[in-house]
Amino acid sequence: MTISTLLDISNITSGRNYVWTADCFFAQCFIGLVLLFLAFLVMQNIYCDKRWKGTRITPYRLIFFRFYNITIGSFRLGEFLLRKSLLLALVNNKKSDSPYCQSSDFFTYDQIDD
Amino acid sequence: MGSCEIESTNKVAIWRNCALDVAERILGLLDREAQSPTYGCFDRLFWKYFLTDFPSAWCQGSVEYLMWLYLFPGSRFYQNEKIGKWCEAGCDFICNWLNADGSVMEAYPFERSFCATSFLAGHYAKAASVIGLNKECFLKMATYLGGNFGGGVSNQIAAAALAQIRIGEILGEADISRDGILKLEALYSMQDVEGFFPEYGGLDVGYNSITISLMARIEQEFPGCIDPVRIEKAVGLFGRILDGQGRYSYAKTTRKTQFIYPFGLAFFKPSLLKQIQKGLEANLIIRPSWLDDRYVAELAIDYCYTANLLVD
Repeated sequence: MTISTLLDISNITSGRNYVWTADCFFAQCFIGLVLLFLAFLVMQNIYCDKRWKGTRITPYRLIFFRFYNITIGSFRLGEFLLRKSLLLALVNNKKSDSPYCQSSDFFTYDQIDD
Repeated sequence: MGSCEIESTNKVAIWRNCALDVAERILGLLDREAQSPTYGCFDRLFWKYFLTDFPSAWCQGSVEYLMWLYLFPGSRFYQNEKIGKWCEAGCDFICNWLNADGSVMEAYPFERSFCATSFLAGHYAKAASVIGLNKECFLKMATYLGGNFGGGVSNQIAAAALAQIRIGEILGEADISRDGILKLEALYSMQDVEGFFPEYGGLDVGYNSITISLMARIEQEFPGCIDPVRIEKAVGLFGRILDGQGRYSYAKTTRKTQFIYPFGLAFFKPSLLKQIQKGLEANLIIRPSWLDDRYVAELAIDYCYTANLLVD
């Protein structure tokens, strides 16, 4: 949706005839942010399911992670920051401070023999 | 050469050993730590590596494999308390992650997957013979299956029929069993004049073997449920398709499935099993250990059924 389309919608819904100005641009950005926030609340509601409770990728983290991925994370610097901070924060095992993708938890017979 | 060939000394052993060959791998896919919030989850990409946002219900079918491990006499897992507990944890995980309508998600969050629900309900119902049942969970799954239909995919309809008949029997609910029988009728109505049950509009030999295997499980547990004329026609087709070593040309089939489920053929036409066994011994046909994490447990379970049938 382009800014001019948003302006058209504003003109139709408000009955007023806006023209393209800097103020209008910031107003549309504000509307955009409000819509984004509403979308966030909807997503949060969807993902806030008791089934995810206790898992380390909680709904809040998940939404933030995915949102970051497709916005800032798509840039080189954003991806660098993601790798250095966010990803580790998301997936670190707090119980043992083990790093991401640890090659462990495979089956061995002592687990059933004791 | 796989260990399943080396250890095989008779016709039962090869099937049994091929099934047990993947035990350690499947157990490694399971979150076995009782304190973990994902205890009982078989989707290692979810609980261990955090590569997916939700656990794919398909992976939970391994609960039936654990049940077979628990029941196989002579194996190291036979009646092992831990195996029983892990099987129970896997079943609890299924119930905890059900959608409100009793369906499960396989490919994306909040999906209502008829395919995964059908297969999973059947596996869970079988495993319940070892670990007991969760009536509420069963009812939800059966209700979902009762109100839905798999379209033109025969193996999914057969899986739903098996699940509903098993659940109906366990809960003593004749309506659920009856709905399973109706699904079988629907399956018969789809059968092609050539004898195969269509998969996405045509013949797929591998998936036909799955459908026949599921029907064989129904007939084994509930004798008289399967129409002998229909199944004879379906199995007869395999006699014409398979070569002397159980191989077939999959290039022009609808799903290009490469593997074959042996149990249905072993149950309805044992002579065909000999052909497949020759291929297995010669390392020519796909065995469970060759498959990826998605399909390994399903094929291994079918090998368990086959080995168990030959023992009987």
